[in-house]
Amino acid sequence: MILVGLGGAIGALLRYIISEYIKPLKAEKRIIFPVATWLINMTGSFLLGILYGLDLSSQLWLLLGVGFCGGYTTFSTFGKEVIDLLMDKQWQIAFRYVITSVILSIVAVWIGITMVHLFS
Amino acid sequence: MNCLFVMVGAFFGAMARYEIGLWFGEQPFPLATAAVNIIGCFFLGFLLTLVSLSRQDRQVWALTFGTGFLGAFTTFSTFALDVLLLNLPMALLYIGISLAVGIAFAGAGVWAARAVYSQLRKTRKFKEEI
Repeated sequence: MILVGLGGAIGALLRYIISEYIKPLKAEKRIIFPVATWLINMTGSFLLGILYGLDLSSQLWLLLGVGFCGGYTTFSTFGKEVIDLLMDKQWQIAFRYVITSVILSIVAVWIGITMVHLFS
Repeated sequence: MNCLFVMVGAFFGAMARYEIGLWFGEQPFPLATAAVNIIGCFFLGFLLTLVSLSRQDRQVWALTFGTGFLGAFTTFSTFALDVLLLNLPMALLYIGISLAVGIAFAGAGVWAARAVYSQLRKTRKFKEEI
């Protein structure tokens, strides 16, 4: 239980640092697409695939898989960003964000698992 | 300091997600993750809208409960892994429910926060405080 909390805290910290780092870059280039959350969810899914493929001990899985990857990636921010885009009438961007997030995150998990199986 | 708020929130958010997962137990359909993600969407919509409407600086709330707690409470990576492990009809149902209900609930949270805020503004007691 504590392991999940610790992993989650570190994952969320990394998510916060990355999104704070990308914020000024986004403003500078006037990008509306939620790049930070998108990148975080893709990389987190890829990492979870690797961890799942490695078949870790249950303690390590709780710390890294359930905790870190779970805390690093986020669904609530994704949902809120989609609603913001929809309320802003950015239909195309909202659609692209949803479709690419879902499809590519599943592909990312699959690549992660497959990579482990190839190299082991 | 901001980092600390995020970490404290996330510590409890991730544990709450795990605890709810234990309540649901092993199931053929990942109900726990779907429920957690949908509930998290509602509360994040609610919280961030209240914070942006408020005339006071509530950034600490957004960091602790939004970025931290709700961010770690909900998860995209487990969602993607669950989808991959399900058979096709179940996977499509799971994606459909998570997306449609999750996004709708985020919208409901935004709407509820606006309603609550406008009610609070009407009551004299809170007029200057919020």
